[in-house]
Amino acid sequence: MSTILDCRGLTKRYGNKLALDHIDLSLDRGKIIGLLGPNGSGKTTLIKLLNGLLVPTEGEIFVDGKAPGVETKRIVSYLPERTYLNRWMRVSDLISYFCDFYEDFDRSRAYDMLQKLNINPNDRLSTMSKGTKEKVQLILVMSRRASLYCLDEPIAGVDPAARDYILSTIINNYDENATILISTHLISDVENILDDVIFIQNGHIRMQDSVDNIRMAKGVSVDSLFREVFKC
Amino acid sequence: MLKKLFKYEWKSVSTLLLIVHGALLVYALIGRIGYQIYFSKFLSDSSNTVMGITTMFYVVVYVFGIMAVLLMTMLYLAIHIQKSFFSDEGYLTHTLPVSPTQLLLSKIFIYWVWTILDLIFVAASIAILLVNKETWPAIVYGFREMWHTLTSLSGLSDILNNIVYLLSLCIEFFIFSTGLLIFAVCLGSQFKTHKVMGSVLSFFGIIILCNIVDLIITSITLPGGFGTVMMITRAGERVTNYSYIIETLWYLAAGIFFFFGSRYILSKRLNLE
Repeated sequence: MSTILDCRGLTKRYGNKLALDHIDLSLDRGKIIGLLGPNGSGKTTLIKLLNGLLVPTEGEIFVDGKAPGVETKRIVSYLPERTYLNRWMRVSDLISYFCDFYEDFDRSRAYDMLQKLNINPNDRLSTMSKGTKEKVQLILVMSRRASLYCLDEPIAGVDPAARDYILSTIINNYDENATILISTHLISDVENILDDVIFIQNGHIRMQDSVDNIRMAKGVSVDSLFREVFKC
Repeated sequence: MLKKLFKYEWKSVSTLLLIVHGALLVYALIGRIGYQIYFSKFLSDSSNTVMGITTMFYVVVYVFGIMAVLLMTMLYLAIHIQKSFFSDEGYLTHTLPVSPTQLLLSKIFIYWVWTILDLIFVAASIAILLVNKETWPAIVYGFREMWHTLTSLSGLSDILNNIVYLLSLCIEFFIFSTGLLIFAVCLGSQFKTHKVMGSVLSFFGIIILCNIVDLIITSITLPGGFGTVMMITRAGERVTNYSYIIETLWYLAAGIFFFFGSRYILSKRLNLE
């Protein structure tokens, strides 16, 4: 199985604070991977580094064998934990925008998801609630046929009913060669869709294993293991 | 991709700017209609005090309006650049499959287009307000005088040198000033906190630095140093003055440095919080 993400000695400092400390990590294609850790553990920093929004202090990061740049941005679909879309735009404008810039964007898939979530394509983002904006962002991100999806807290701001739809959307809308990296605190909600998990703490990888191994070898759910490992 | 970037840049900034510039034209039109009505009714009564005060008030608002529109365009575009590069919107901007060079060029082009539109709108509003059969000869004379003054300042009078002089103004205005603005915004992003304040400080800091360099260049390149500045201006047309050519090269070099500096920050020093 080929590698989609490869980090070698990856380090990121913010001034004196060490966010990631010499991380070595490889992610295989075709898996849904949970990036789990307490607040400030380095999850978002890692995702930003692979999207080229941050520059490493030391070490290297490769997406599909290339350093973050124009080529990797073509194949990575990123959902940040904040609203990053232009407020003045209508949903239909945003779909055109994504269509224009991403060759892998599937317009019909986006409209289909909008309809299922009862979102009017003619609505402006500025008139929407925070939860609806997050749904729109997720629809845009998942309507791409990317090789790597990076979802930073994709279900944190939406209601439980929408969460189920979003998770089923995630499962149903990626092909078998694509990888999904999900960073979240809501482990019990996503546990059933994960193939692998990565536990990260204080900028170090504490554990990387498959969900099946955790359940069989340790006899606990990922949620229980997380609570045990990161007990305050 | 550059074309697409430019299309969305244009869409995102132009609605508000077109409204503001349109308002300037409407204001000029109101002024013209106003004085035409006045002259048709009270042509002989030139001592009408109310009209005098109204005209004065109108002209003051008009002049300040033009200055406000020019300043607003610059500030609005600077804020737009800051937001789309370094605020939450930057998460979208910097994950598009485009290079930092393309991102910068799209911002630069939109800034140039709006700078030119600024001049066109202001000229159009003045034309709406003032141009008629009676004022036309005076306006033409005024432009001739202005051109003469400008070219005399350079110490050169033939057409080729005037073109070179005009070109140097364009380089200073378009390449140096635009580059400076974008570089200051990028430099501001390198501050740990108060990034907007950092951009403002960078902008004025660089201006001061550039003025010092400019002064040094002038003092070295003017024949006889500082003391000859007035002599050259008064001597007029036949005194050769190469200082502005050297200054132009300096502005060009600085503008190129600002562009590559901004590109370096976007590609190697980007740190979105």
